[in-house]
Amino acid sequence: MKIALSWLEEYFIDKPNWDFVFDKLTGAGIEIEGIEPVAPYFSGIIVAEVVECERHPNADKLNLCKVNVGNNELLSIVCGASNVEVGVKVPCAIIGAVLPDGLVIAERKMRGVTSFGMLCSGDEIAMPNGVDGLLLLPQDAPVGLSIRDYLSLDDKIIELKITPNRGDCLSIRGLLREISSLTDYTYKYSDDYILKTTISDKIKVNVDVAEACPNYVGVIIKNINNKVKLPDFIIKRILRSGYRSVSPLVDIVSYVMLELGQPLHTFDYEKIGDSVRVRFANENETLKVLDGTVVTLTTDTLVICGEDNHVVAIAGVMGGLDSGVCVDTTSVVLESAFFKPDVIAGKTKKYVVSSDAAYRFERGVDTKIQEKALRYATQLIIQYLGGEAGQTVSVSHINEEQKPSIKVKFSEFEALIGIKLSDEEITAILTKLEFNIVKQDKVMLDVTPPSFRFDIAIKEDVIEEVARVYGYDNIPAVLPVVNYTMDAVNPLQTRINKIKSSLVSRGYNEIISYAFIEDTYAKIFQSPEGVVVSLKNPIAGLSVMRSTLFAGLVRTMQNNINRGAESIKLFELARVFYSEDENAQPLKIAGLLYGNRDQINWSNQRCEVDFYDIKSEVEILLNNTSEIKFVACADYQFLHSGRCAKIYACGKEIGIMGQLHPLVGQTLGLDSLPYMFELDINALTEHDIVFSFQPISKYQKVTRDLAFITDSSLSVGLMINYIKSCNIDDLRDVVVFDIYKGSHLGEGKKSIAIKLIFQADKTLTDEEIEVKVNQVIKNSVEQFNIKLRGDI
Amino acid sequence: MDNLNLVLTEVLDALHQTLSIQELEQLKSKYIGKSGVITAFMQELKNLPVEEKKEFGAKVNQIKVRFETALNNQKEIILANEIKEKLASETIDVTLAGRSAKSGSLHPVSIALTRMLNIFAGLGFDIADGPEIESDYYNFMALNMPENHPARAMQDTFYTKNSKVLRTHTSPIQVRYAENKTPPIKVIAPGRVYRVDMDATHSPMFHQLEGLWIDKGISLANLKGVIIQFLKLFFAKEDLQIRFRASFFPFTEPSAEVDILSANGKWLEVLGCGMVHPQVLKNMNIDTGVYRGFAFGIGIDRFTMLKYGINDLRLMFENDLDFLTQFKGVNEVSL
Repeated sequence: MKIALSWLEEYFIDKPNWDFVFDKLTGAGIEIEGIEPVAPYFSGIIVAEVVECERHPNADKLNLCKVNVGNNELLSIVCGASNVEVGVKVPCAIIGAVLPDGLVIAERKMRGVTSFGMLCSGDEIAMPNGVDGLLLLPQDAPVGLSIRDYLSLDDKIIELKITPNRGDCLSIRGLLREISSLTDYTYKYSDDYILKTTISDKIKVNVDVAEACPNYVGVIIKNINNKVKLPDFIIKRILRSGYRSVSPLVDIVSYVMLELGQPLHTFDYEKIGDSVRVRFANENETLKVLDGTVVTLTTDTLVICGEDNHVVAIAGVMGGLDSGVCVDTTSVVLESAFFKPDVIAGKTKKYVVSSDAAYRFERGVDTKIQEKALRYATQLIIQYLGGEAGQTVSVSHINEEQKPSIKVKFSEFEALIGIKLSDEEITAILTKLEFNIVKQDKVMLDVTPPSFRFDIAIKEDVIEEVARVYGYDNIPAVLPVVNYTMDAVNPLQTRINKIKSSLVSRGYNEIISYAFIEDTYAKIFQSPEGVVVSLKNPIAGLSVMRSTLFAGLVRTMQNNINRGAESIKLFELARVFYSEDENAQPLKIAGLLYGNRDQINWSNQRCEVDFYDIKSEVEILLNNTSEIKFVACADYQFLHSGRCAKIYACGKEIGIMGQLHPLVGQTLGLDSLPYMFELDINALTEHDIVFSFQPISKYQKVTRDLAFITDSSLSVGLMINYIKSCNIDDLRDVVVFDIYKGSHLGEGKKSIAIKLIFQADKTLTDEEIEVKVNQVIKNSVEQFNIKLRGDI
Repeated sequence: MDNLNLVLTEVLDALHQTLSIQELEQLKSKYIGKSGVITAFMQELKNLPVEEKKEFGAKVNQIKVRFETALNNQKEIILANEIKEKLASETIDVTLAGRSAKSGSLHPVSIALTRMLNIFAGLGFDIADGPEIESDYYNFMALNMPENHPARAMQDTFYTKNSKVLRTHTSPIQVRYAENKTPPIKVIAPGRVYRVDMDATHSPMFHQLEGLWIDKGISLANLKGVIIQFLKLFFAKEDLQIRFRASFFPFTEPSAEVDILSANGKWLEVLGCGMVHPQVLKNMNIDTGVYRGFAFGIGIDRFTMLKYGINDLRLMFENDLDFLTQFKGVNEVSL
């Protein structure tokens, strides 16, 4: 909310130290977001009257003026503006004046004539008004008065952030109350508005739903002139509060709302007639709203109806187009009501309108202020627009006594705040905040909040009021006494840290990308595990929740390729979304490897990464996961069907890895294709190895090498796992050290060279080793239909 | 005797000239080998009269010992020279970069988060998380924000087609974590959160760290104690200026926002916090007559930017390698 500081200041008995007040307000929850001077600094510019004006002898476009600046002496000033003439009142910068751009006015010879000052345009005093020439001031502008005073340019616009609980501060009146309860500054505000009833017209008010509209006040005002000009100070205050000046009636309604916090509405009397009715909308009822569109109302919408029971306004939100006032309006019905916050809440969203009235009603307006606001607005209307008012009619069901009181023990203040305040301090603060102390004894306090507060319902609310006025900064900072129990190591966090640091040390850069992706990417990167989860209200076209982290990795890779990167290693840790279900949002770690195996380097032959580079990364990450298996997989539309593997731990799927599908690469315009992996972090931690220590043997390891000739389609990994699973005594490990394809092996064949590593608790004899080696050969040949190529 | 001295001078001379082990071996054999010069003197000994034998023998022996000592010395010198030459010939340019790939980097948000987790781990906080596509109940209702509550407008919400929400804050994790536990509860919950907002200072996805501490006798003063301690530790600045302001969140009562004084003398809002609202405690199935607690929400991205001097929020999610690789040497203990 914006307000002009001068408006607020007017009511204080002593001029407040505003910096102090702003600090207090901010500390107590009314945050000052901005303080902007209404005009930049300038000085020495005053209201002047041009008394004489004649053509400069040496210049066609210049005039010689005699100017009255109010000190009995006429100044000679040369002026080039086309609109200068005798009798105009204009801003005049006298000798020594400083303009907003820093220029200092001095005596100056212009074509042989000395000028003792300068007459100013709007632009020159930082008040651009679109007029080419001098800024012409009204004829009643007092000569000699500083222009800053005359236009009240020393004013400031204060921007406040009012939280939703403090609707009571959305007005000058509310801020006065708040400031005086936080400081010792006192203000004077009289709400004795003079309202003379001069005509007998009386609005008939029917409130069908008192629970939604506990207070409704209306008045008929006739014979007004909505074409007059309101005084400058009202217009200025409205403009400085960020409102437009629309018409005198609308401006007065805005003005009263800004000053008192009560939204009002004006209906054209000719259009709605002698009576109003407050009720909920009927099924399929419609209203033509201000922009000309017709909205269909829902039955939870409170409406105002005219004489013929037609809807003329959505209560507390906006009026209809057909019942509104215009410049030609001469008679109005002025409405001032209290609509319940929960009745108004959500309506601006439902009807997609913005409404300052609804903004206040949904936060709550003072239940005691409707009649006052009505009288104030009527008084202003009659004062400036003329006209005659009928009798005010009020239908009220407000019963303050029914508002439940809140009981709170004095000891509870200390318990919640953490500091002991005396009973007197507590009651003094609450009294200043206009709480009504219903009952008080040594132990207990019983209070009701003031009529303008809608955020005080429980004892914690009361305690908060005391705490914030006392000042949060005055509350001590005390570390809690901890009943400490030691916690087990957090397995997930430990695993995450380990995986991240492993990837970082192997050259991977962590990225954080958006969880929502463009539809085009979602179409490519759709995991077979999930369904498409799209957003109702996406931003920047990011409409689908990703089902795989590959989308963000590939997108990031592309951006970096465009920026010249050649070797790219990325990883991301984030959730993916298989459905909207809370259990279908697993946390994944995914990596991408692209381009050259190493950064540009003096030593290496640069070569492209391949499947086995990324596989070694995955194997390192899985070094404490048990029973890992990689199985060829062709389920992923965006991965190369011949270079893709599903990853299993203990038979349970934990991830996927592979190369980007060439067609996807083509679509995305990639010259070479990245390799990627994605692992389910939680699934990993479920299959940690169970470690048990094995005594180490003192005896030498013995190795034997074998080579087999097999079909080239044979999965070597499966064969090695099979050999290991045969439980051959003392066989400690099996390692593949060569894969060879050559024409002499025959079409579709390959040679696999493996090293068997034996170790026992004694020295193995050649004969013993031979028996074991033969067993490996026999088992392998039987299982895989392969041939021994002979010892190498 | 003079002969002997002559031999000694000659042999020591020869030794000093020797440059290789091979030459040294030749000298050794020339003088003390089977038919060596000194060996010959030894053999001469048996032909000498008894009275000369003793003196001559001692002399020959002395010469032999001196020869052997000199030989060994020279051997050491030669070996030292040889290794010196070998090292010189093998010298490489140690200023060239190492062969293997460069180290990667953690995202600054990750680094800052780890720093936060470590600080709270010191206070015995557990770590929790929850779903990012969240139900209206956990994101709003359970946190005392019924439908149409004006506070909902403070958080522009993404909705899915089935009217679930992308969590607008990490606070729902509080409720999920606490509803099945009995106090004392001490938990932090970091995670991604989402709001419909995208400009120079807002990202539609950002990070929060939620904290919750529920126990008997917890007060606003305790909240201040923990937050101040945390801020000073995080920014590693014992004299950090910290300000608590009253504020409003539907799920805390009283509520506060916390500012720190930045280098340019301006207060910067860094987190929101408060005493958990009794209604929220009830939604967690916690006995409000016995327990109270506080909660806080930290904008991790904001902290990251302040900590590392990052001046543009958008950089954080563009993932430009020129940005990311700057953090390769940075870890959670870096100042």
